[in-house]
Amino acid sequence: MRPCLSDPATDDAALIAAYRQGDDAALGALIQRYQAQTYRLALGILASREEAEDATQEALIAMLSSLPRFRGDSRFSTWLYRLTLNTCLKRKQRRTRPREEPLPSHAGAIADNPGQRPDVQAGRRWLRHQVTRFLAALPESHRLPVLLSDALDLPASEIAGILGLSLPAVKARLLRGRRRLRAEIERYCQEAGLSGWRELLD
Amino acid sequence: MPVLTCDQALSLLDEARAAGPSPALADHLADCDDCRAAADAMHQVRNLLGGIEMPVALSERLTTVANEHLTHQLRARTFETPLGWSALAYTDGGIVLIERSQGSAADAYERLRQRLGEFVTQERPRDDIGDSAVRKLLAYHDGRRVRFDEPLDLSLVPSFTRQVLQATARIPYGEVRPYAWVARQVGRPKATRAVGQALHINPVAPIIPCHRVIASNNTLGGYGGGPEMKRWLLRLEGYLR
Repeated sequence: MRPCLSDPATDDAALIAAYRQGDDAALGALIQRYQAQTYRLALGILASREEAEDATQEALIAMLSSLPRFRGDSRFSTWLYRLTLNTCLKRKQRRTRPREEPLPSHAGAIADNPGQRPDVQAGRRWLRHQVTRFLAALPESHRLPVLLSDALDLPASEIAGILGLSLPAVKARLLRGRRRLRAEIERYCQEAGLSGWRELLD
Repeated sequence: MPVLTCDQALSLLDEARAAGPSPALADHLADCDDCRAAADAMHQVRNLLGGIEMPVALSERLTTVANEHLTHQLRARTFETPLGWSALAYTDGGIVLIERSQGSAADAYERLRQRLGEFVTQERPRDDIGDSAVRKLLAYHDGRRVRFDEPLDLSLVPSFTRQVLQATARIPYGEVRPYAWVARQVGRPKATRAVGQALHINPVAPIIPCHRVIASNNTLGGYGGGPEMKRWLLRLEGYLR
């Protein structure tokens, strides 16, 4: 029976099986399902939107050409994220100079007059926009678990599988990584004299 | 209710996301500033990172990439003729390769994979040029005249070889031409040996009928599948008795 492609309950293995039997639309559904997460992962690692877009495309091409060899020994998502991770890390190694741009000014997004209530909505938008640059301040060992957990919403057990770490190690790095990320944001906001930053985070 | 240590509480933080709220954890967080800070950091970071959106243009680009992939993807079909099992590889752009085997269907398919690398997908039943080519190939081996008008993808064939193959494709059913005739057709009248070599690597026999090219002294000349097969095909077409 043809699986229902748009139904989130149709599992990845069923989509892959349908694709292998000639159902091209199943491939489209599989890509649809993972493209946003793949992009987030790439952006989190590369901290450049342009590069993350290219890396997402590169990872898709790698996925398409390796899919015939995917035997289902691990979950498809684990396999795909590992492949994306490797694509991005390789790309980063190839860089001749760091591509992370310096943090731009908050450009009036947040009112920094102590007497005035900050424009929380605009400030949050700004922060969302910049978050991957703050993330870039974290060492890779902490950045990757935080990304996989908090940007991709993966359980700690799957992250352990993707990164080849023990479960307690993943949990410890998540705690430290998040604390560090928040501290980075705080430090930046304080240095910029943004009195209203606390509101932005909540 | 069990009283949690800080270690237990922190370890529970991530699991509680999936498993739903834990009263013991909530209890601990109410009393413990350090763990509450960790929980707050988790929610804040998740809020921020979970909001990253993918540009619409990228999504469209990925769809294009996937469609391109499907168009160029090598697909395979196997079929059985009186000469044994054959395997055919093709893309949406045309037929790429036909391999014959003395063994099973799986063996023919394996030969195809070895020639083309790992990118040949498993058989993918679709009603497309692969299907119509296989139907005609079966009819052809059955002694019927068919017109092979499916596109051929000879883009990986070197240009001299391609010219030789295109000239050979014009030899009518049941007739033969000498190597020298093909050489003249491609404007290299002295290159009969090179013509023979080019025909030897014909990737799409018998759709391109290299078996219809014979030596000038009317002996059959060589054939990739061996002289017996060449004789069988020419007999099938009524040239030989």
